Amino acid sequence: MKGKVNTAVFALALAALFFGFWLSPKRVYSDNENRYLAGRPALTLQSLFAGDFTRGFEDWVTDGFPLRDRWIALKSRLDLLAGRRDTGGVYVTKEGRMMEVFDEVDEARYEKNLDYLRQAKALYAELDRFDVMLIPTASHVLREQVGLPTPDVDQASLLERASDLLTYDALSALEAHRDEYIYYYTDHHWTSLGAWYVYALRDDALAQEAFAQEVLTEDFLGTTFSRAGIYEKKDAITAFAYGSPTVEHNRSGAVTEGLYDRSYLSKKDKYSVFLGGNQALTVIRTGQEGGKLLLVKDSYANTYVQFLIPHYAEIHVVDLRSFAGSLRAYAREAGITEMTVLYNLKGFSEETSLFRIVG
Amino acid sequence: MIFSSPTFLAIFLPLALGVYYLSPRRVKNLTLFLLSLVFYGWGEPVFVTLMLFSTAVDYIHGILVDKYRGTRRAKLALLSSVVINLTLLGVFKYSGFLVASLNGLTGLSIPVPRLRLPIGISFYTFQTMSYTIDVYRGQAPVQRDPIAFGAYVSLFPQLIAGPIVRYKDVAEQMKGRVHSADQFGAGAARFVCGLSKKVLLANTMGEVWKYFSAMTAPSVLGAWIGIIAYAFQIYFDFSGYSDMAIGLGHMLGFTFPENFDYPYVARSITEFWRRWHISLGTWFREYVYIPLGGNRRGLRRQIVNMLIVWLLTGVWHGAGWNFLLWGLYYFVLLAIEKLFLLKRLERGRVWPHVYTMAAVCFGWVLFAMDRLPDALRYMGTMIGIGAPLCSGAAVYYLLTLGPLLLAAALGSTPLPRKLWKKPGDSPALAGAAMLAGLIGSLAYLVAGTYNPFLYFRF
Repeated sequence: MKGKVNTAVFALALAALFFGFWLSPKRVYSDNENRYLAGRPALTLQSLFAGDFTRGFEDWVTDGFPLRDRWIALKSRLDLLAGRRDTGGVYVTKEGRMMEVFDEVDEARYEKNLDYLRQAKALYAELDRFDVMLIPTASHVLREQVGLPTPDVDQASLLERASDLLTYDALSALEAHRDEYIYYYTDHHWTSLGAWYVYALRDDALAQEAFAQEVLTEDFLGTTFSRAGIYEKKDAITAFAYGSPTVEHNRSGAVTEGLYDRSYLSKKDKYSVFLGGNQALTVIRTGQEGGKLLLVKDSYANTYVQFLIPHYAEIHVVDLRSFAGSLRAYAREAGITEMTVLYNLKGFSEETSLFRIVG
Repeated sequence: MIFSSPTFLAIFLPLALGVYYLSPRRVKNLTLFLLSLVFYGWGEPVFVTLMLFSTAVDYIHGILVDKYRGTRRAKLALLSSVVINLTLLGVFKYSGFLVASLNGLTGLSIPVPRLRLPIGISFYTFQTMSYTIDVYRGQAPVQRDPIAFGAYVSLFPQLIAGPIVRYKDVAEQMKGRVHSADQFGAGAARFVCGLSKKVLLANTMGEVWKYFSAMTAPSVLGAWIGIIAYAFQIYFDFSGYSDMAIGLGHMLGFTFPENFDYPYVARSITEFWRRWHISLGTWFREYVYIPLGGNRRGLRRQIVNMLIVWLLTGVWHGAGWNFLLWGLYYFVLLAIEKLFLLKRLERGRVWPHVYTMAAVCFGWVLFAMDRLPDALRYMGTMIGIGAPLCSGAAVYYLLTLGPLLLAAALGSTPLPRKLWKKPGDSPALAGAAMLAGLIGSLAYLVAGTYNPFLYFRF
């Protein structure tokens, strides 16, 4: 009897998997993972003997597995049920906050990147200002919310090593407001409010009331949600608007009104509402008086750039990961007067394109 | 292809079982042979020819040994088979290591051959060698049916990570097997049990080990958590694989020998090795240790024989100095036990367990770290040299993985089996447990990009 039941259960389960896979509709793109899923590989003699076919086939099965997102969510739930505080590379707190684990740092890479910044500071010595901002991530600032000492790297001591470069003490500013909504629950970025607290460290910072606050969406599920496949609460994205800047993308001549690309509010990647996501080059004409800022950055700056509008006439936003050509020549041509480098600390310590800052 | 992959579970296994059971009885071996070639060729589309070559060599040599039985030619045929098998293994597994070591010792710079290790070669060459030797000794009948012989060598359940099934263990089963729902059901349960061990326990433990072993300065507590996690990883990985192999075997009508017998409950290293990777230990005993004279030629000769066996066991696990050292480490421990310690261990109650597990853990450091300075530094941390007692990371892992570590510790003892004996008799509960294990494992498999299989190196 027992053997028959086991046989039946196992045979049915295998049949369900087999037919489930062949009959289920295959997605081309996974919003959650922000990537195209593997398609069915072509079988040729060459691909077979090189092993490409079988590898491709396995990717296809894994990516096209029926109810893929549900399985991933189940795995995360089981992890938490078993007492773990992290799953899929994110810490999950009691309040349902999910923060990227940052437990390993490539020391050599980090030192090298700091060195590029020091070289750049010397190279651009003629500018009025050269600010460096490395923003600690949630797993450090909000580490107490995990409820246990974490294996995370000590971001304070990483920042200490960059103290000759850093203009503002972003860590203290954020830690002072750790009970507020300064990082998203389901995304690895800081919120506009978090960015405001660091902006407020500027001597010439305006009051919060100077910016028109508007909740753009309350339906945001970001990257840490994607990693774990589960969430407790959704995030709200708030705009801190000032004036009416125009934004020109990638020298293409395409000009849009305002910093916010609202078309992203109906997509998965809602954080890209700021500046329309990462672009090689974005030129913002603020309509204000002031100098010309060169902002070299990662996506953390997309939130921060709102607060810079009142202070400059033009802001040239450069993402080194995709910027081609000489930055030096570009800065000279554009008549840049000030420069700010803004990265999140985790991203900065892993960044491989900083050599372009001295190019 | 590995068992713990969506492709195996959702595509290969349903198809293979379907085709196998639909095949008429007299072509079942052929079906099995072809399925196994697809299984092996899936991951090794080129080296499948090497396996077929090895199969053909021993098929022919078996017949030669049988034909010239009792003459010098039989001995020559046996010798030829052993030489060919060991040459294959030597070229593909050890040539790089040997040349590099030679260069290192002599200062020469002979180009180091960089051959990729064909999956499972250590397992199937040992299997095919055992066949010819057993035929020579008259312990196994000669197999004249190339299909049946090919099916034996390439048998996909145990092809790539054991157990090492000697031909005489399955000679009868190659002729004809009984297939029943009871056996299939038991096999399915065993398979899912092994899958869960591998996916739910071993992989997670592997992450913990990876974290602590990569750390430049772990704490004492961290180093111990790390190596204990590794001990669990390698046990659940390997014994889980054996469970899956034995379970699949059952589903196909085979009964394979057991490979693990709760090694971590052992009270001495001698006992540990009677319980760990049993089929390998048996192989070395039967084909190396006993032919060398075993323990029948005096203590001094016995110790020498042990040294030979343990050096071989070490390098069987991998072509590297650390594996040789690991074998030597066990030789020393076993020799000490043989000379005087074993008697005292047998009288103790708790300390023999502590001693055995500590010795095994230190052994795993040698095994896991291929550079000796790294291993020594890690061992130093374990005994508190230049390391803090405790760190935040160690506390974090101890607390958040506490339940899983506890489950792994209990799972290394016969207790769960005892406790499950009664409730497991209920068909509904047994079926539900199997389904739960399968669903849980699938969740981790689909979610996990982290799914390396440790034993592919061997």
